[in-house]
Amino acid sequence: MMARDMPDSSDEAVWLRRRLERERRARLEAETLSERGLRELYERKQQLELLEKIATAANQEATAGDALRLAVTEVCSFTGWEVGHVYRIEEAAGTRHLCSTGIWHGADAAAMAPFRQTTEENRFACGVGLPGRTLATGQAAWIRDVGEDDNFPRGRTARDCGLRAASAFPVLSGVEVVAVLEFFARAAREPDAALLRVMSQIGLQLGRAIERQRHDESVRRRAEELVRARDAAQSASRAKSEFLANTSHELRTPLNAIIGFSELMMNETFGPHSVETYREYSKHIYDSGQHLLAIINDILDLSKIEAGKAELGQVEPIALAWLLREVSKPLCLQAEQKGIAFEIAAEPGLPALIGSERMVRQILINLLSNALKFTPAGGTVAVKAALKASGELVLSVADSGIGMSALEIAVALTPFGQVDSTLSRRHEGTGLGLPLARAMAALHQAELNVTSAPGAGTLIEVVFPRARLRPDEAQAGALAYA
Amino acid sequence: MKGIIFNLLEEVVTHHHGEAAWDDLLDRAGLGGAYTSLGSYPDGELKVLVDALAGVLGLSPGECLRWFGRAAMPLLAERYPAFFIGYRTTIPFILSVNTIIHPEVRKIHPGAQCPIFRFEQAADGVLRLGYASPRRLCALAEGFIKGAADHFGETAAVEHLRCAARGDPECLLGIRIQAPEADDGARYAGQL
Repeated sequence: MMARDMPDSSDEAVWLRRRLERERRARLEAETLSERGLRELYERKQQLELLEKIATAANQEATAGDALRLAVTEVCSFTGWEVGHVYRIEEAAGTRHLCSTGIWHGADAAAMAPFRQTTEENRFACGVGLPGRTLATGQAAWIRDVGEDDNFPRGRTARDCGLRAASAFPVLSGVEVVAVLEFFARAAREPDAALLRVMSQIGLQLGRAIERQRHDESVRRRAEELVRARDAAQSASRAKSEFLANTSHELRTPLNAIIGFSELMMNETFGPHSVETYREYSKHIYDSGQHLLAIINDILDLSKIEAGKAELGQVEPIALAWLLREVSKPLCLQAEQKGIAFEIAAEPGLPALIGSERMVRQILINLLSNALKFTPAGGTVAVKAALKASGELVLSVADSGIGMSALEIAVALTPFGQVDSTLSRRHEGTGLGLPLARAMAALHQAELNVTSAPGAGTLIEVVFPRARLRPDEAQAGALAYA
Repeated sequence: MKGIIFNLLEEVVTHHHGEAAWDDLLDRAGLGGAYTSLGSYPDGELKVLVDALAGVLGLSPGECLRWFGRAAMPLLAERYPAFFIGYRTTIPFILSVNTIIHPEVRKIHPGAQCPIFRFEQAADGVLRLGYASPRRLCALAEGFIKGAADHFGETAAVEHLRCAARGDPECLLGIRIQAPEADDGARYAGQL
């Protein structure tokens, strides 16, 4: 026996022994306290890491399913629960049931197949079984041992597959249960308060993932509807434009006959009318035919452009000073008759515009016709061609007429938009002039801008890009038309 | 080596041989002996203590470790009851070492170098436990296994199928739980 001389049983030795015993107990207690503190710190750290992982997944995974799958795996590895599974909510006729999402962890083994199958075949109503309890209360549910629980329909299969403890946790969006997670362990387990706290936070994070997915889905559905509506509208618009483009041709053929024959009648080509009225009538027929032809031509042009069939065709250098004068000749007369001052201004040394002369002419005619139409006697109409400091070319038509509100501008720029009955009654026209001018400008990559206010006149500017200008042609153009 | 092992050794020696015996061991080993379960101490100190114990008891160091492990188990059960809850027999408890007990140890001792055991349950009812550690404490493992069997009222026969101490690359213990019989553990411990 190993031994050394024991101290005397003197008072001091007794005192020392008691003191030693006290110190020993204190040390043990301190160690136990420290160990508990370290364990709690470690577990708290683990919980935070788990929460962080799941919060990240809930916010970054592509789908809520991915976030739930990751969460179930992480929770299993954190808690040591061997099996995890996720239910989704199925709503039918106002009743909510829980159905399997097919998301499992730890249930791949063949031995687990019966439990997996019975779980996936079941639908759990509110209050029924483990997940049903969570759906009913919005709270976690815990079963120490599934064999001892009388509200666990899968009890026998679970026991056969070696499962004992079970728990279920809600995934919440606000107070609404949007999914349920369930976990199983192979040994009985007592409820764990710390785990319940962590799981309630996890449930809220995952709820956000589901909210996000629902939101994304509704946005996507709305976007798809809009795309479908847009496609339908575009295709309807194209069909209409094609129809118009085709019918306009059909209309023009008989109209040409009407104009041609009425002209012959008006001019008494094959002999005089017996009654003067017939000559007047034939002039009416001829004038109306010409007017109708102009409208049909506008419709045809616009329809072609809208149907995407219009092209610039032949482009050539256009001397704008000359074109302005050309276009203005007949309109000057009209202005004079109405008592409107008409001004033409072309900056000297303008570059030539490379474009379709027919279209640029049409743009000017349409803008000037409108200006004259909407300007009362005593007013002014001015047409101008000038270079901007930035090098773009601006054709502008300004009038001191009745002007337009912002809404009226929008309507005026819309093809067939001149539906205001008072306007169309007061001012003849199809309302095609401005949209057509803008469409033709667009074919030249030119912008058409409208500046106007009621009673303050209207300024329309067509801005041609520098790419459409050729300074070296300016002289040539000016010479050619001098 | 974690301080808890030194604490257990102190308690076992003190329990069976009195307080003076532990002081004597420390003197022989030339060690201060202020060990706290929260600390870590050189592996060599355990070896020196075990060698000193072997010298005193007239046993081999291996026999000392076996005795120590077996006698330490009741103290562990008292200090860490949570590890034993939920187990009724020895084998499932042993199987939980890698996945439950050692992770718990790491919670308190982040740097703990717990051995990883390789388990193989053969059809003949023998659990084979592979142990590879530079500390070569397979005898301590055997003692713990026998102590665990005592705890669950069983008897474990442990055979060193391969042993690093005999020059094998690693240790392989064959564990067979025997039908309950007259327990020689207490007798063995009593002899010491």
